[in-house]
Amino acid sequence: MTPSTSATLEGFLQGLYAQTLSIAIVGALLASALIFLRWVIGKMVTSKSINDGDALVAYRCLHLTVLSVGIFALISFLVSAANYATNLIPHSTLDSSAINADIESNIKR
Amino acid sequence: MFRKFLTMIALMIPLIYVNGCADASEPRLVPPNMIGLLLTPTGFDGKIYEPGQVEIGNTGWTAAWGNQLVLMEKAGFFIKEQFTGPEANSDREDHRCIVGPKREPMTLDVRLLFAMPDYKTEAGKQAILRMGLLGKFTPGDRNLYGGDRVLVLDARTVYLEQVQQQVRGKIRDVCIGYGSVDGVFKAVEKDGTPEGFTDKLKLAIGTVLAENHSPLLLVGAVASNVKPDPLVVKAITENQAAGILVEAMTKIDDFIKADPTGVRGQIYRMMVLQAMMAKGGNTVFMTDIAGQMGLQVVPAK
Repeated sequence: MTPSTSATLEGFLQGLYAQTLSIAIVGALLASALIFLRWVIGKMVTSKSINDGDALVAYRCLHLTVLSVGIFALISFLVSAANYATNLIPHSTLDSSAINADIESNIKR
Repeated sequence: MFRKFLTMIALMIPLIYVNGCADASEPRLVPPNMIGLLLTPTGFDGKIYEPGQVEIGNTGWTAAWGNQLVLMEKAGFFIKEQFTGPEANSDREDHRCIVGPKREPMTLDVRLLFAMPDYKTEAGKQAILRMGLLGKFTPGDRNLYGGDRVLVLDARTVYLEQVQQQVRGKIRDVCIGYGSVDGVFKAVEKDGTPEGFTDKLKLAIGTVLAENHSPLLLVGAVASNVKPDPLVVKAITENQAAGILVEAMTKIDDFIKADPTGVRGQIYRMMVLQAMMAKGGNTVFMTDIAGQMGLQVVPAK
């Protein structure tokens, strides 16, 4: 890989490795939590620990929580990506042509 | 009550998550004399970051996965190459330049200013690759660059490991091309012209670095402290001292001879005797027979 002053999509995605991994882990955890808690609530309904009305409320709250966390995780990832994307903005640097001219004058071609 | 409790929990958990994982920016500084590369967990992202600030992103939620900013010094450092005798070197070796067919040793200092080639050109990109592959990176000072996760490549280490031998070899080549140390002095007088000693050094060093695809190229050079062997210096000094002494003697002689009365001669004799007496250790008898000075020195016992 030879470096260049322009960015590539592959390089951009490489730079978001940590954030991508984080959101993947959060997604996996949320899915696991959702499945497990739905099973727990179902068990409680079967064993008559809670009535159907409360079970519905519990399901609703569970889904709301998982959805909220998922959305916020996604927003967090998008904010990180937007932050990282500021690296694509071109920088204005000092003109080094005088230095390059001095270097060239010392080379016999 | 239970519903309100569950609703409250449902709304608090995302807020706790957001607070815990709030993604603050992680900007790092790329100073004006450096360029940056971003080292991700899976390798370089391929972009050259120019001076300014770079967002390196925060670390992973579960482990320390994260990007590192790699800085390379690209311009504006100088090196002083010295060619000195054994008394000035820690290894007690004679590292002076050899000049001419008579192999005259010559002390020399050369101050060199280096910079990386323009990183937008192919040569510049190759220089970055060489520096990156062969250089030694050290952790950067977090106070200088805005935080941790910064690696810095000091261009001096690149020079010492990859460039120095070529430069010193070329300086020696230039020196041996002159007929004598006097020839070098004459060339130093022509500095600023193509025949100047410094100008020849600059052209020779700059060319060899470019030909060998060195990651550092020469911006400027100045030669100084050109000196022949100390024994030669001593002989030159003694020769100059002898010349001035002869002039002085001739002046005194002419001054004394210009006085027909002989008074100046007598005064000069008194002054010489006074100087001899001041040294002590001898008793001097002075006689004056027919206007000529006769001296008899009796050594002290």
